[in-house]
Amino acid sequence: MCGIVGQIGPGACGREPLLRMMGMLTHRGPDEAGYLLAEDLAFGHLRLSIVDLACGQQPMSTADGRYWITFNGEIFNHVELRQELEAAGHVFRTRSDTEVLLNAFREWGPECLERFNGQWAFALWDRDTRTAFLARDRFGVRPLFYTTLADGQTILFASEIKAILADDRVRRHWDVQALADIFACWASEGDRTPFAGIRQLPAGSWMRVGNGRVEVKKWWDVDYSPDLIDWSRSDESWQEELRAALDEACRLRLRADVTVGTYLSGGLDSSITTWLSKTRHQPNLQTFSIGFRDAGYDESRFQTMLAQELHTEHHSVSVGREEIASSLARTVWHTETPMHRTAPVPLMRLSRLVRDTGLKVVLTGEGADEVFGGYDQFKETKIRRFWARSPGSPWRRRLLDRLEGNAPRTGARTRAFWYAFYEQGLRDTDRPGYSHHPRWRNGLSLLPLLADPEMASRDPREWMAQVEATVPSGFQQWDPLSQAQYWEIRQFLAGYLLSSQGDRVSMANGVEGRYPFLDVNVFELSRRMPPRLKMRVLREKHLLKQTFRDVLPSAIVQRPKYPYRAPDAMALVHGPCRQEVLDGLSPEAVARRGLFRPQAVSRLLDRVQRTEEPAARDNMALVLVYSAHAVHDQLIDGAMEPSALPPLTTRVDLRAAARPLECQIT
Amino acid sequence: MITNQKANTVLDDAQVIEDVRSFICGTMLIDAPGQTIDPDESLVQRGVIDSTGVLELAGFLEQRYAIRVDDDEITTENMDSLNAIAAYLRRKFAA
Repeated sequence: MCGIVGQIGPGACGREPLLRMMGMLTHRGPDEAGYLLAEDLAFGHLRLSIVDLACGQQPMSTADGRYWITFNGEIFNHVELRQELEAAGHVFRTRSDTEVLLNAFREWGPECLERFNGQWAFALWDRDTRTAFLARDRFGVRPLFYTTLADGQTILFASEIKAILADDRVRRHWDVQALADIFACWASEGDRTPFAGIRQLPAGSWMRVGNGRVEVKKWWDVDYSPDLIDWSRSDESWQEELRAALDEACRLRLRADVTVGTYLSGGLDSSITTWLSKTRHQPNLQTFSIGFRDAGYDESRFQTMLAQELHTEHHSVSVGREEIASSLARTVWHTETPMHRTAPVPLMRLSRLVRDTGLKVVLTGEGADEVFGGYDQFKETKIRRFWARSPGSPWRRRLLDRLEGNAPRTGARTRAFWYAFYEQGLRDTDRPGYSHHPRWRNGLSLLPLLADPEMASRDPREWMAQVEATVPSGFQQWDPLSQAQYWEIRQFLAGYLLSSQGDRVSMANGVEGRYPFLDVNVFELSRRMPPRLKMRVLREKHLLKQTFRDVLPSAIVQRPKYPYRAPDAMALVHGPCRQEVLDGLSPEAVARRGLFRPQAVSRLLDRVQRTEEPAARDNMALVLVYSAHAVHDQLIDGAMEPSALPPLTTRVDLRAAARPLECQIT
Repeated sequence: MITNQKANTVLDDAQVIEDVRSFICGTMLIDAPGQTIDPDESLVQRGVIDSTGVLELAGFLEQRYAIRVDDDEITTENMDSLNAIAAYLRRKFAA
């Protein structure tokens, strides 16, 4: 797990600018650093040592010096792949998964990706053909950004945008289109980022750069084709297979040359990964939890219950409004995007707790809701489709009352308007994005906040239609639940959960998160499951609960889904940092950044201040505005100041050297 | 034209529509230049009010017109457009 940077092409930089890029990512790799300079190429690497601590330095090459790699992530099945590669005649010099990746590419080419069970972003250079190959894992656990310089031929890439911005040749300004995306669906769509000209390599994609050409290809996508579903099996046989697949997923993810812990949220998913880890693989398990001083958000009772039941060595930390407000800007420095919620802040505090305890790897439960049908979003879709078949039925719409997480706290008084909101487009059941229309519509209603007149007056239907035009072929034949899962995986999981609540806030403290529910075999199993095993009537994660109900405390299994949230606008406006927040949102401060309309922000602020519990939409609007300003101040306007590098243990300069290599590894 | 004795207010539909429109544009709507609200336009579809926002609207009507808005009167029939609100007030005062 690490940070990677590089430049490919005629404008590739020399040593000092490369070290400057690397200096922006030292939090990702505090253990050691390395670089490779070659003809039209510069690779940098910041290492968080986890596998083969003594010999896993990067950039690393194949024994013949032809292929070079800078790699962030893990190939969990590297032991098995290594055996296969050794049988095919490959010789290894280290125990690292990095060398397995190199030889796998040499053996299988780009198809090697399909054999990997893991989470990765890497850049690999073929010195003979002078081409580079960059790739990301299926779900986008590990990030990879790039930009093309003005010469049209030089590519800069990095694990985080700030490293690219540290190159003086890169201009820094907003992509307003990406802001609209973020409002609507929490993340930039496609390859966009909040920064104009800077792209992300989308999850499940690779990119080839060389000979003046850039080719990007999606090598994996979510596919819920109905012909994959196996309708013939009993629930018991599915349970057996699911238990075994998750068990194996945890076993592979506990592989490391350092101690691995687990996150414990108090919900079902992390309880399962913790139970499997502790009882099946790692008897001395350390667990980590975040609590809240605002009781409405706190799940400590359930976290403690499970830690005691499983006899783990439990660590927890509690955060309050003050810490959330005062740490938000620093968190945004890491997430590099405007956010709807403050929820990433406590998660960054949690990764610090892990780091302070001396660990740098944790298993965590994200992905279960997307893969096994846990979200209220899925129930909401089911209810709306049921209601659409009889739009006049007053009782069908009342099923929406079951969605406790979304229901207005003001109770019966406002139900009529809540129903009216969901009734919009009720009969558009043929639209590919039907499940997500309410969410998109809600977010896009914030567009008039934007200062850009064209974007502020943009018709939300146009945005929705454009996004819906990008679904994979055959999508219309998928089951409605699968269609909803597709959007959750593509937008919320890849764009927000694994990034702002995942990689960025854990790597901010040099902690690697591993996701058993996103194991390739677990996901393949979920694709074969009939949708009714994911959601039965309106019961979420049905099969998952059935599978583990006998081993976990019933209080955990039977508890209604409790979405992880942190105090949002009220932490900002009603917390101890109130004055600072208000100053930052004053008409002058808003006008200075130029992103939002000052008058619109003032009204928003008025509304939020009038109440202790702001309306849901105002809540997210305020956090979006505040966090967008934090992005602006630090990454658009702010100076890029690299940190001191860890020991530079790999220094390779091939620019003047013909083979054999002239390299120095100290 | 209706007279509300308590508030000693004389109402006509055009005035009600203007008052409510100005309240919505002034406090609830995300202000954008040139935005206006047609009298028949659905406030929900327009994204102007949601389930919480409607409480602000009801609060405004209670204060401005010195009436009591009952829970079962907060319906889309009564409050989803400027014309619907005017008609609701007319019925309320006629009662």
